[in-house]
Amino acid sequence: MDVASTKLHHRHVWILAYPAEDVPGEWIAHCLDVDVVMQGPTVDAALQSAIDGALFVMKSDLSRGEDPFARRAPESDWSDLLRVTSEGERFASDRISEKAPDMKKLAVQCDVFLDVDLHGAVAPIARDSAVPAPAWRVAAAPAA
Amino acid sequence: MPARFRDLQRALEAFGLVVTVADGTSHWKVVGPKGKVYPIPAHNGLKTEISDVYIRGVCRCFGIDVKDLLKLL
Repeated sequence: MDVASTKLHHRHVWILAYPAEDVPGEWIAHCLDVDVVMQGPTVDAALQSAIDGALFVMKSDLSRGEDPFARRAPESDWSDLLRVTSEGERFASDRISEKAPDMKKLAVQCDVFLDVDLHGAVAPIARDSAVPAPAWRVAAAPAA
Repeated sequence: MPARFRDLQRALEAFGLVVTVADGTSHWKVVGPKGKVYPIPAHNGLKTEISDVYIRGVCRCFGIDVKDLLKLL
């Protein structure tokens, strides 16, 4: 795939992260835009896992000619996100690990980039090699 | 109710889904009959304890009634 035949797509995705109620020590990270739920032993690991999972799904769906954003999470999750972003405290992304233990739920917006081949008759092909370091915007609802 | 990955794998396969390692990676994925995929957070391998939130997510992706899946766990 040559550079001239590709187009860089930029998109914000939202992730809700919170401690798993049923698995002690694990964090859940839910990418709402593509409805991918992942988990990890720390908030950072869970967020990274959700980003990797979301990119994996986007790449796969695009290669099959499907719209990955048609997977969108249920409205109840988006309402939850709205509540966290409107009522939560905002802080810089580099403080996620520091702030997470005192937070009930984190809302993280992440920039993802997909290099999509729009040349030719076959379905677009996405590759995630062009993904730069994500820029985070964070809001968090304090623990009850 | 959380589930061990190995038990979830068996349950998903009972619904005709394929649980496999993604090409060229160590990441696990679920593959549906039309090629639709969903990643699996198996960071501790088959022993990974999978949250109910994830189980509901994978059920939504493949149109499985979560109650039916939970019966197999």
